Amino acid sequence: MFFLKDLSLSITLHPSYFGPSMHSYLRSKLLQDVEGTCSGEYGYIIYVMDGMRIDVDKGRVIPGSGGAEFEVKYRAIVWKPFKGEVVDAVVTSVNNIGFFADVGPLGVFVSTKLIPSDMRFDPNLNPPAYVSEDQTIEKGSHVRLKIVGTRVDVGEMFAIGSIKEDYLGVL
Amino acid sequence: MSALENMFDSDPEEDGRHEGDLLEQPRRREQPREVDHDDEDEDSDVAANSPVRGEERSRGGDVERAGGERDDDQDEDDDEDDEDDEDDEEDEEDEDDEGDEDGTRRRKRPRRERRNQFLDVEAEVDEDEEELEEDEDELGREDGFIQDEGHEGDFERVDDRLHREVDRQRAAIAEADAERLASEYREKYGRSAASKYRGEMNVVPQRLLVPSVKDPNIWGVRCKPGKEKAIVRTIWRKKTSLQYSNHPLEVLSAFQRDNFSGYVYLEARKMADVEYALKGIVNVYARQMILVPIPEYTDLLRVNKGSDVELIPGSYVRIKRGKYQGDLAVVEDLSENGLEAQLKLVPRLDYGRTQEILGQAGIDGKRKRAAKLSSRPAARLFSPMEARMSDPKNWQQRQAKDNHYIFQGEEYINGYLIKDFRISHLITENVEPTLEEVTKFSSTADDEGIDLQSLAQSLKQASSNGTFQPGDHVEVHEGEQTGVYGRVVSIDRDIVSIRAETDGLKGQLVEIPSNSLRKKFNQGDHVRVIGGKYKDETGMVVRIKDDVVTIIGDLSMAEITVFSKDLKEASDIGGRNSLGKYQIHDLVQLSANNVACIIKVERDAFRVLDINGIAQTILPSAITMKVDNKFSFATDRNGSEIRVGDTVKETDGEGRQGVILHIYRTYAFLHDRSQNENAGVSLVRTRNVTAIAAKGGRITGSNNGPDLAKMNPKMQLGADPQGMLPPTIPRQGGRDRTIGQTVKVRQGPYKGLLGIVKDATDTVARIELHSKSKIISIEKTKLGFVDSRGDKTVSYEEFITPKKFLNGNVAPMPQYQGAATPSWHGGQTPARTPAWATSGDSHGGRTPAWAAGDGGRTPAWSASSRTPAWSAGGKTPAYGSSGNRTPAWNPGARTPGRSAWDAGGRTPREVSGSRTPAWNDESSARTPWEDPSYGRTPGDYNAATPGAISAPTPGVISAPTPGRWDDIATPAVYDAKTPGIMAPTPAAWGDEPETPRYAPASP
Repeated sequence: MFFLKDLSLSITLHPSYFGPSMHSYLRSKLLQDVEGTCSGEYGYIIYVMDGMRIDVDKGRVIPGSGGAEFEVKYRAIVWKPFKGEVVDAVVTSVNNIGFFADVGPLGVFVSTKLIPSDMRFDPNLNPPAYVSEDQTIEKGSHVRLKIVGTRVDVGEMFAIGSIKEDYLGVL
Repeated sequence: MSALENMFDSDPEEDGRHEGDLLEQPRRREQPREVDHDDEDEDSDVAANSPVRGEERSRGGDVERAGGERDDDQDEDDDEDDEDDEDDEEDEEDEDDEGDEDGTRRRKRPRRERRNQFLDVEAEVDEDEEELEEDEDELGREDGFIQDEGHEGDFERVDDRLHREVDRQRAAIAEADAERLASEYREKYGRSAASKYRGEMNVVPQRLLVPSVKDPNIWGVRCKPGKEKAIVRTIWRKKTSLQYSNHPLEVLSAFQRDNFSGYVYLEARKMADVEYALKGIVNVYARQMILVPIPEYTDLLRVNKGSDVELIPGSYVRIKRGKYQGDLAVVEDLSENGLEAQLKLVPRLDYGRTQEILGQAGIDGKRKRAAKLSSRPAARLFSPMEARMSDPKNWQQRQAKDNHYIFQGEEYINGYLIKDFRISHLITENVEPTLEEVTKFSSTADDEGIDLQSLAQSLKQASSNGTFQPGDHVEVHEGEQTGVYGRVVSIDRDIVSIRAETDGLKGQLVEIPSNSLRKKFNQGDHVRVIGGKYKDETGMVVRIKDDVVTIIGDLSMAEITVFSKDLKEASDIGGRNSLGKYQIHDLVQLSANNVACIIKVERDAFRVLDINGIAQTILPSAITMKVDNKFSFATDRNGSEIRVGDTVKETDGEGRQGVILHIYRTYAFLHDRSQNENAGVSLVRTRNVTAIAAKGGRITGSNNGPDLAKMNPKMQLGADPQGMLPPTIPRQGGRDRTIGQTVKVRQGPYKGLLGIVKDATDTVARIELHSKSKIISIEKTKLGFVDSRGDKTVSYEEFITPKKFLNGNVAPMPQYQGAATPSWHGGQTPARTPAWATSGDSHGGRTPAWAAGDGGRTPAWSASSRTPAWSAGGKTPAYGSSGNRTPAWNPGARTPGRSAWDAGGRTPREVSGSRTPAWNDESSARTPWEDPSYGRTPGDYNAATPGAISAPTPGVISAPTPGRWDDIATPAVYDAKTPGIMAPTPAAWGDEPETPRYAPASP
């Protein structure tokens, strides 16, 4: 699910950067540091909103080093996958134990146990696919799936999905 | 009896026979007498009236037998009386028989019966009724009512009553026979489903069966442990051999118990009997005799003592020894005495293969057996075809439709071996069948076939305690509270308190016996396996079916099916990923020219993928060492640098994509989680991949801003907010400034000679000597450039450095221009230009600015400490270290070099005095400056003294310059990198051997 979230980041600035363009340094640093990252708490930070209106506080000089620390407040679009959420995904690989699909930055694995039983894995097709009478799931297919579980690794998330329910499956 | 059975390992029937024999002995002793009488009788009778008497005889045989028994009961009767009685009765019966039997039968039977009289010594039918009748008869006879001589005359006396009597008796006999037959058959073949043992059926109260004081005592006698059975056998033999002697053993039974080693037990009336029985038997210590208290008899003789596990058909057991040692089996049926169980197990047959091999080799039986044990055949279902091929003689099919075969004397039904085992040879506790084993017993491949009920039962017995922990999510799966779920709050032995979370009971504490609980998981839960084969794997639950949970392993990405009792919720990601000092994804050396990447860690082995692309399982001992190549790099198909951690994609072949785990020579190990094969690890050639993304955005780093926690690169380069050039001056092109200059050679064989530079490269000048008409090539740094005023020579560095920087005098500008060009330009420009181009447009205009050589530069130059200038020169390694472009200018990359300067170089120099004199003065100021920073020993430096300045120069300027030049000019990024690694340490940089290394690279 997408959220608009107010977040903050503290950035340490070397004194050599002090000056009129300090704020632009901080902004670009912020974008570079947070956009596209993932945390277990908020999920993926997709986009930092209002790039020009990022709130940078006055900053504090860090005793001993001469650098300064700035608290940068920003508003970002975050996306966090939830258990039970239904999402659209693109299949990236298909094998006999299930298929992997990407939901934006998130990798989702759909096990054969969570694929309708009428869909069978056919390794002889090119590319290999799960096929039923009227549906085919192969690499590149668009599927709608339900997330049944998520796991947070360092800087990455992973999910298990299911298409074994009504209205799920190939789009 | 049970003890005896135990002792001799024999069937109960057999023991019955023994006992029967014993009991019969006295009877047999008596019989000869009887038979003798009969014989006499017979002889005369047969002579007298053969047909009729013959029939009489036949009946007489039966009666005789009955009489024999009666004799036992009555002890000594008067022989003659007895005989008479019998005859009397025989006659009566015979008359009945005559009525309905034809002649042929009569003729046949006598002989057989007569023979029977001799051989058949025991009564087959115990007819109380008959005896009673006889008794009555006897009574009558005693009274004298019935006369002996009335044999022949009885025909008239016979009346209807006797006929009916006999009829009734015969009917009773026939009936008894039928019953006996039936019971015999039942005993023999009775193990059908209908007669399965279902525990105690008869309702005789146990306490009534307990022995009392009237029963014989049991003495336990110490003996040598291990010799118990032998002793019991000896006693048995002694008993049998002394049976008919004057002193028979008065011991009623002798037995031993496996549970009480070092004791044999004898049942006898008197202690003296026991002592007598044990006299002369070795290994038994008759003095240490204890009388077993009566209440302990039952304990002593209890079968399966101490095992609380009650076997029921369907439960799982393991076999203790033999070919099937450790194998799982299912109890099919239990024998009635509770000593044996009929088991179903997966046979281990080799269908005569070992025999064949051994037979060919001609090995004797002993060895054969040893060989058989050492390599037992794999367990798999019985194959009738193979069996038939190997040993057709011992193969037979029982029921076609049932898939029921007998092979080599053993029974196979539906492929399983059905065999009787003694329960003492079975492991009934802690069986813990694994899912793999259990699946073998389910006829279908799907787990639906598993009898989860009995499985759960077996498992629970084993591990009812300790499987739950406070905080576990559990669910009640049986009993009244079925369906209730909640969290475990506390555990008291087998009682688990749970805080219910079901609607009705929410928040209540419920106490549930642990065996009606099971752990509850939901789809998507992240769990860790805490027991069994997959211990320590973690994964996500994808399916739950009763007790069986399927998870997808985090690392293996494979499906694992385990029991819920073996799972635990987990927050971390794990899996067995290390064994010994090696971890998953380590690169290990297998042999001199083979390395492999560990793709899976098993219990005591590794699964590795070697550089031949072969996946194999190896033991830790097969690993020579771990290869640490974190810093290795390679170039991809496009010539871009790739390193460990970069994401690359195969350009041909399977188009695999993955993160580089290792680079070894020309191979790279990639890891891609979505790949199933080899746990996602694959081997590619570095030439076949293209970089997609570098770790930490190294390649795609152009959009990365500077590292704000470090020195601003802009400052470092000149601290000019407008884009002041660094001291490393971009090349302007055009003539080398040294050409045409008058120079003085300061070093080498031509030292002191004057000449004119005719031609020059970056480092070497060709000089036409004034004195000799000769052109020599000599390093520029060995030259002293004669000042424009002609009164003083300056070093090459000074010559090419703009004079105005040194003393603010712009006048020598042309000279400076001419001189400086080769070095500054040659080195810097090619390197710098692309760098600046990529690092942002703000720096783009810098080169012309420098080229313009405007006057404003001077203060700038001197204002920014010289050190950065020098450090910029010295920075070259740093530059090289981080690649060839932008990153080079990243302050991050530069830092080490800089700090080195900070640490060593700058301080002494600044201490030594103002910069300018230091700079101007050729020897004094520089020495301390150079020394610490370059790690050069003063000795080294002094050796180079003739040109105090020129000596360090190659290190400082000319050496790095080609290096930098090289970065760009040749695609071999390779060369550039080496100094890069060394950059952080000034000592390494200052190392003399480095210099020649750069020199050849110069154009």
